[in-house]
Amino acid sequence: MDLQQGSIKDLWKAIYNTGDLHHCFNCSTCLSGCPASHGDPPLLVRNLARMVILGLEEELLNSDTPWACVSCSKCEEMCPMDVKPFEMILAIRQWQSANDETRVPPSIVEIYKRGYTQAVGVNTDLRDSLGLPELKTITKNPEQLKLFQEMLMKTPVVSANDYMFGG
Amino acid sequence: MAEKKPIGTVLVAGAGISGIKAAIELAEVGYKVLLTDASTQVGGILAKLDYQFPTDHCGMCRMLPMVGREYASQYCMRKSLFHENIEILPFTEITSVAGDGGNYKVELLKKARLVDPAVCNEMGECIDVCPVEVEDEFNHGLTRRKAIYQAIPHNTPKMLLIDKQACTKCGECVKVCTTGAINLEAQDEVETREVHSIVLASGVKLYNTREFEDAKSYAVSPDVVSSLAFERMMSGSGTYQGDVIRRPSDGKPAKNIAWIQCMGSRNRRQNRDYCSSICCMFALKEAVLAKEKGGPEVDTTIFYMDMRTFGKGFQQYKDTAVEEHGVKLIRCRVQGVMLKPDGSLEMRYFDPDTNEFFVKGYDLVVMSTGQIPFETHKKWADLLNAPLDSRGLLETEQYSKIKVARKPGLFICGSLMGLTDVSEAMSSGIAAAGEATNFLTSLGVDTIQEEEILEPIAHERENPLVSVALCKCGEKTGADGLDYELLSAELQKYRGVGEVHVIDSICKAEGETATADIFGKTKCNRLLIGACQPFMYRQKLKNGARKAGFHSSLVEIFDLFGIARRGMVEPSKGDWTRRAAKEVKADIEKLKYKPALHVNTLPINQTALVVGGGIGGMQSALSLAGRGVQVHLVEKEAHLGGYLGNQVEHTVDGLAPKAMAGEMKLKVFEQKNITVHLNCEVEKTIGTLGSFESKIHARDTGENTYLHHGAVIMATGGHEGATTEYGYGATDKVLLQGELKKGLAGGSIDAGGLENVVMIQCVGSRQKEGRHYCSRICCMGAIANALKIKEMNPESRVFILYRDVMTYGFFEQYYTKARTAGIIFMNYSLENKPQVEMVEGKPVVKFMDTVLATELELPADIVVLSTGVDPEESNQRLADAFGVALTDDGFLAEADSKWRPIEFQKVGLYLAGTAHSPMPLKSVIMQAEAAAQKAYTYLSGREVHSASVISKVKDALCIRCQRCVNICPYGARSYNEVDKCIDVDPASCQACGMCAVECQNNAAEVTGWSDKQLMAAIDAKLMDDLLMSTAE
Repeated sequence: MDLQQGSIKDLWKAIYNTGDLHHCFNCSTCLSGCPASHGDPPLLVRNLARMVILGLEEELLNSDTPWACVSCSKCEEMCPMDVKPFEMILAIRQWQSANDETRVPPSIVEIYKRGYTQAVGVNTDLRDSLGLPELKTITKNPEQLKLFQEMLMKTPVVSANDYMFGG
Repeated sequence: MAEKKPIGTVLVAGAGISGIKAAIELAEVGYKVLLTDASTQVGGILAKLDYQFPTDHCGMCRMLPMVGREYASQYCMRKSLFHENIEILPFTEITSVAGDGGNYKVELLKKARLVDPAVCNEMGECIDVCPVEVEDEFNHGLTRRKAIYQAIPHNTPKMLLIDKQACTKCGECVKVCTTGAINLEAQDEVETREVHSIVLASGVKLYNTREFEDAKSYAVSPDVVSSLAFERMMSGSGTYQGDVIRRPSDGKPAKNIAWIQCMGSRNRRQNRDYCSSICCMFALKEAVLAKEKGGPEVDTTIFYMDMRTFGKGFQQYKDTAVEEHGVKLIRCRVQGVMLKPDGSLEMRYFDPDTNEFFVKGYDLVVMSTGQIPFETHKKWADLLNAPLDSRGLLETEQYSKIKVARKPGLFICGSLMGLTDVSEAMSSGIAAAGEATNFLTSLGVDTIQEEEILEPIAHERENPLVSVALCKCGEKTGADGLDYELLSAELQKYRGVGEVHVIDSICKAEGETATADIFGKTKCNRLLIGACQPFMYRQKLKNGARKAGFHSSLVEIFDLFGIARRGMVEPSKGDWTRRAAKEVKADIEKLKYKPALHVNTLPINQTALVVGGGIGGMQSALSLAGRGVQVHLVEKEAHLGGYLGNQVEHTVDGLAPKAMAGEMKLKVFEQKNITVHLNCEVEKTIGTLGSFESKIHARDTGENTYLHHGAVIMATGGHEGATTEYGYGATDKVLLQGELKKGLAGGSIDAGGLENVVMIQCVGSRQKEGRHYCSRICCMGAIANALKIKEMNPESRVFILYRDVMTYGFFEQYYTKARTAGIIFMNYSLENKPQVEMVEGKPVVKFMDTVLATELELPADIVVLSTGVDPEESNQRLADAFGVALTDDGFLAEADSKWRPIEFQKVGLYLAGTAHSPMPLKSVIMQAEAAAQKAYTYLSGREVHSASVISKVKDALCIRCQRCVNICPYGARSYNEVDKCIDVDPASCQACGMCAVECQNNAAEVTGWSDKQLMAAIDAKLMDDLLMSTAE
């Protein structure tokens, strides 16, 4: 890729304009324990940071991986350089949504359906074997789920694309 | 009458290796040293390490003085240190310091050990009966010890003490102690001492995984250990007695071991934005040793961020570790260690070579823990009213790593400067001693003069008659103790024994009187003393014997208790006495045939020759000249300053070498003790310590001059490396860092016109073909230039393509600063170097971004190459002229890369600065100061005494084959072309005996260790066994 043509030098200012991002030295801490890095394609936080720093606008706009983040905050906790990678991921999502009106992240559908991007209600047996209490997910409470969905439907991104939400 | 000047006294706080080194160097000059340590013993971290790279052995004893070694009793340094001018105070804290440089009043808190080491006979029965067991901190809690214990298992003397916290005061130990050494009610003592100068060598606190939050996701099981704990697991005196490495949890052999680097370091989030400098080499060494110990089936993996192999020989060691030992390196910082329900360990990592995630199981995980410096620095700053810098570290003078700012007479060395490896600990210890000596010289205080005891006549032609004096150790020897009556009777009968005396306590006052009494009356001409701790009282007992009329070389002291008990399981009284008798008889035989040995006195020409007029050479010359030593400074160019002083305007840490060199040049020309020889090279040097003669050749006039001098410092420096890679030379758009620096400073390069700049690191470096070493300064140099460009033109984009960013220690902050400034660092591998092509007059750089795994290309306005540092070509001529060696890379080869970094094997020759290896400016200055100190130790006096035990040549037997010359590791033997014989330099000879082993004709011999003596000693032992077996 030609960096002269294919990158915008100051793109990071538009996406994640904090003093933290540039501290990243690609140590891979954010990758090694990231639950979303198991996905296909995997979420590679370190790579997103590099793309923002280099200003790879097109690649960033087309990447779905920021939406795979499960908000566990492990990268945030463990990042030795305090880049605040989770904040960066949220910032990338915002920037993507603001700059690409056709982007309807598939995860919104998941959230609409079950309140979370991930299937957190599974693994009940494993939780049980470890003596952990049952998770009170919203899917177990149809009334509240209905209220929740109605609330979401009032947001423009959902109502404008209601065909995707079984509407 | 002139007032008697006080003896210069220095407090060295901290008895790790840098403190010990500083203390020894000061003591050798003749100053009085108080060496304190807050811990219970001396040796610091190194007491825990059995192995140091590159040899993967110990070698601490190599830090001892080479000349006059009989005054600093030469024993294993990991055991202890003995020097007449050093007062060692372990378990002592400094509680307050009043006054200032030249007049410090130091309050010492001497903590009660509850066991008096001067009385303890070290039999250890007290340990056997002690009912209290606690974790042994020496083995990092991996083993247990008693409340009364020996802090370091290999210490001599054993220095037992009682752990006050653990002790229940049951009194069992007091009951079994036969010497009354234990006092459970002993109190701490406070003592105030006056010193002229203070050297801080305390080291710093180390990262403790139990204490810090960010270690929690790693330290999940007993099988996750710190690197120092791992060292104890490998040690012969450690957890597994040197057996295979096991898992602490279940004792199973550890087959799959991983290291995690930068534990606690390089962490901005925890306010620890520094590198700990030594952990990369530490981990590599541990991985190699784990492989060697456990065999090929042991798998070792190091997870790292940058493999910082920046020191001399480090890169080669790393390459060998990877290629020959199969140590795996993975560039990934793992997020944590997972503890599986079955107790096994697992780690998930991203492998940048394959761009894949892996989950692997490990038997043992080692955390490479680093330094926690701020607490220690704050403590000293408060205590000494010394300044801290903006980072919270003790502020040193701008160009010094040693001198504390605005505090004359206060110095730091060792890991207080940031964790240091052995080599840097040595250099800094010597340099601190040098600065302290400079300071003491300016105060005009005195040195300790050796007590002049006239050596009595050695009656060696008379029939040998041995007087044997045995110490009874307080008359209270236990039930299984020696039977002195039987032993005396047995020895009395032995041929060659004149008399046998049993003395109560030879170490106490009454013992001294008794000893003097015996000496006064004796008719014997040789003396054998048996005592419990011959190391501690050696010099005292020898001096007493000498005063009474025994020639000091005909007095031997042996360890009566240790020698008899060693290796005996539950000895009975009879066994012990029999064994002792046999050992004493062997010692008697060895002493009977011993010739009288004489000390060689070498006259010293108090003049130094400094080769190289760069910053290092000028610093050495100025330091020596300031202390009154005459100096010849020889420079091959027409001007002083060298590469740094003439070419480099500024460094990343805000220093201005060119301006500094300018000031130094003025000082050199003003200093009347320095004679500068410009345009000159040394062609040939002959002679030994104290009297060298050098032929100096003037390159311009062709004239030869002969200089006479007592010591030599080589500070030949280096220069920016050359290259033809990446199109350098074919276009002015590809330039070297040095050219960019000059261009930016001089205005010939306009940073405003630079849109894209690409810098390529390690050009021709850290690879087998080319400079097979890291030049240590190029990462900092590139960062300095990149920051300059960003400062002049914030809109520019600067990319630095690197293999490993070598911003070790506190240089890390400049790496962080550079990234914050927007400079983009991209990693490349040796196998996949960047490509530079010229397209329409512009260099286009193509390279693989290892993060995105994408080929990137960038048209750059300029491409800047970091080519590293080349040694001077003249090093080869210099090495030939002085008879010293070069490394494969063309730098001068020091005597020992760890323990003697600024000396050559041949005594009297020293090296400093880039002649040794590339290093930053402050390190050059530190080494130059250290080299000056080494030379000053000898040049300060009119003569030095060599050791009496040295090798000699029996000329009539010698066939001049010169095998001894070739094998001598100290360069002490040479072939004398004039007299056609073998010469031994008594200052360089260390009496190792290699020549005696090598010589086919028995012409080489170490005095006092003749075949005749040793055969007689062996005969005595065999004869004793024979008699015993016949009797049975």
